Amino acid sequence: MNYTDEELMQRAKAGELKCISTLFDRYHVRLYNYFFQQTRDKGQSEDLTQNVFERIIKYRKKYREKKNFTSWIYAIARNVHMDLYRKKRFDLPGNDKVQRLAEVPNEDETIESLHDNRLKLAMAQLRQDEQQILWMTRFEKMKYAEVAEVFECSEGAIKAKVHRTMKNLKEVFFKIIVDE
Amino acid sequence: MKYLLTTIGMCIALAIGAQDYNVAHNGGKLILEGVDNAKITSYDGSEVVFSAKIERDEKKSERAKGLKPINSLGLDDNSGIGLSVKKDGDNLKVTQIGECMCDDDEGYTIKLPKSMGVDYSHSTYDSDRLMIEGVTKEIVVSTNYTNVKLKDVTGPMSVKTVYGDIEATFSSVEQNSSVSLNSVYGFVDAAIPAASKAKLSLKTPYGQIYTDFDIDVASTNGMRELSDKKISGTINSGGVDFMIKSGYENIYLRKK
Amino acid sequence: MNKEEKIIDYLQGEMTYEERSKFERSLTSDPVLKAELEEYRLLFDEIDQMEISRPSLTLKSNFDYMLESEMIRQDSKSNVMTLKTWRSAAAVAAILVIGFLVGQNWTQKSVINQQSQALVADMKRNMKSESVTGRIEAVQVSQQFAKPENEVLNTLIETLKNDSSPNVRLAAAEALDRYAAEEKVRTALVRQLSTEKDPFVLIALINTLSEQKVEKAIDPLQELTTAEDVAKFIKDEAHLGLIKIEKI
Repeated sequence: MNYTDEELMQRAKAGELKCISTLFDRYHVRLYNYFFQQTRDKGQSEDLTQNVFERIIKYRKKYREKKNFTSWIYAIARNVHMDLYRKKRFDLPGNDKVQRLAEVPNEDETIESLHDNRLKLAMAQLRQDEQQILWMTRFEKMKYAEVAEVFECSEGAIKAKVHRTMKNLKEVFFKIIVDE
Repeated sequence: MKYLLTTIGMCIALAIGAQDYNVAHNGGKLILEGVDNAKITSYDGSEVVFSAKIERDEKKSERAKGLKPINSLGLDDNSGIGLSVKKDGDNLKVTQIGECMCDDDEGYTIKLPKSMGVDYSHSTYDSDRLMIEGVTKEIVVSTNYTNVKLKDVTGPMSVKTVYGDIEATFSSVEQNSSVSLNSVYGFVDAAIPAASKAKLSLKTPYGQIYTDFDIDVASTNGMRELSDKKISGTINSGGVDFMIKSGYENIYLRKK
Repeated sequence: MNKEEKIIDYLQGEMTYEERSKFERSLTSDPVLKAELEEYRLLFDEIDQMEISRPSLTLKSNFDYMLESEMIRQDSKSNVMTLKTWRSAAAVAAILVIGFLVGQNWTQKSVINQQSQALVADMKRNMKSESVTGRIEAVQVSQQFAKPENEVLNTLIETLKNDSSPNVRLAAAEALDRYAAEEKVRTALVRQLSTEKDPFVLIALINTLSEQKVEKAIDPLQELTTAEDVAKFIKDEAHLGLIKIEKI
């Protein structure tokens, strides 16, 4: 009963809708965190996750056989997010990520969570596409080639982008440590 | 440097309360650059009248006694109320020197002869609002943050703002030349007489269009182009170009 | 590729077997590289250990509801075939009607040609108007042409480049949006992107170029996102434009 993501999606496409439920179980926490890391808003991240699956159900027929499912779902996630971003753009200028991060309640500040916050703070300095790339390559352990599929660009472009992202992140991360 | 000049500007000693500055002028345009919170009204007269309630800082004013504020372009305050006023061909050009000297809530009130048009530009956060009333010659407005309110106007006009909202009430729609109202992040609300003739173009990629007019939607090759984000058509069988665009907010076009 | 980039690829697991062993050998002889690697490893470990939060249970129940209603819809979809065939018949009829209209248009073509020459002359004359709204009106005339006339495009491009009023340049940029498939127009829009100072005109340019996925715009857009003297909302817009062109 252990189908790959691609097999499940292929079956869903053929009419076995129940398979999407398994895909939901596999992906919803990951997607939720992907959005949460960028938006810092729980409700919004849940809505966005929901929207991704809504599109998967709606556009299941568009899934191309053998296409890497992770790349496909993240491409959808990016589109869903971009649509929201577009609609919300008028309130962007005052919408400072670092500031919003500070509003997240510090539940219990153990050493780890302090460390965690520092990393989050550093990540919040990254541009949105850099945050997405960081998430895909580190958390999802996606290969450069798979990320390239999400962004519909060359593997070389992603590689260069990963390099820049990591260099930026490292610089900011260690700067925060020094500043403290 | 700019800071220094601004500070000097603020330090000038001036009388308390409302102050006026008059210039005789006829025809052409009143060009206003960076004038905060302006309220421009057209009237039957032959002088442009600038007035402002000046806030006065006693301590600072002592030090600047006998000195004049100037700005980075070398323009100086020749009006005594923080504005440089100069003839520029047929036009009258006014530039605010440094920070606004006026009381925050008041801004500058300007009375304009009926023969003059207005060309207003403002690029900083410092000005919340612009009000233009009764001007029937050409109006050109370009702001980044300032909300624009127009009352009893007729066109022709071209108004564009990045963050500001635009509210306009027309007493009639002049058929000489075009009207365009543009905002990127703000809404546009226009009220025109029900009998106005115009060729409309309404566009808002991410907002909604609301109207109580019966718009005769343009057709190409017998087919009507229908979209709720972009409407081209005519009212009262057509007339002057009347364009409204908002990037992310709603458009309201109502009968007055 | 510089050292730092090699470290990143190594830790990301993006090296071939040969590359890995070569890299590991160079570590033993290069203490600076090793130190740098350790810094990166520290950062990567931090990232890997980041807490994951859990969404609320309503997410799951909402999804279940959504999926179930889709399943019901799917079951009831088997009898729509008749409607579909009817629709394609309607489509054929529509094509015939369009064909007829196009044919009619053909005979009117020479008349249209004369009209458009008069329009071009009109447009050019009005473009010299002193008044801003007069020039905007001239730009607006270009909307009456069904297809891009060379002279119209040149006039619009000229206006975008040289008109002193940003309001008129904006109108020109928006009018050119219709013709953005033309190479000449694209080149002009991209060039204007690097020289334009007015924020509103810039936003209009970015929108057109990104909607059209003009790759030539990538460099000037990148420059906008990093330029010092550019307002944040323009940087955001440029960044969004880059995402839209899908070349990050």
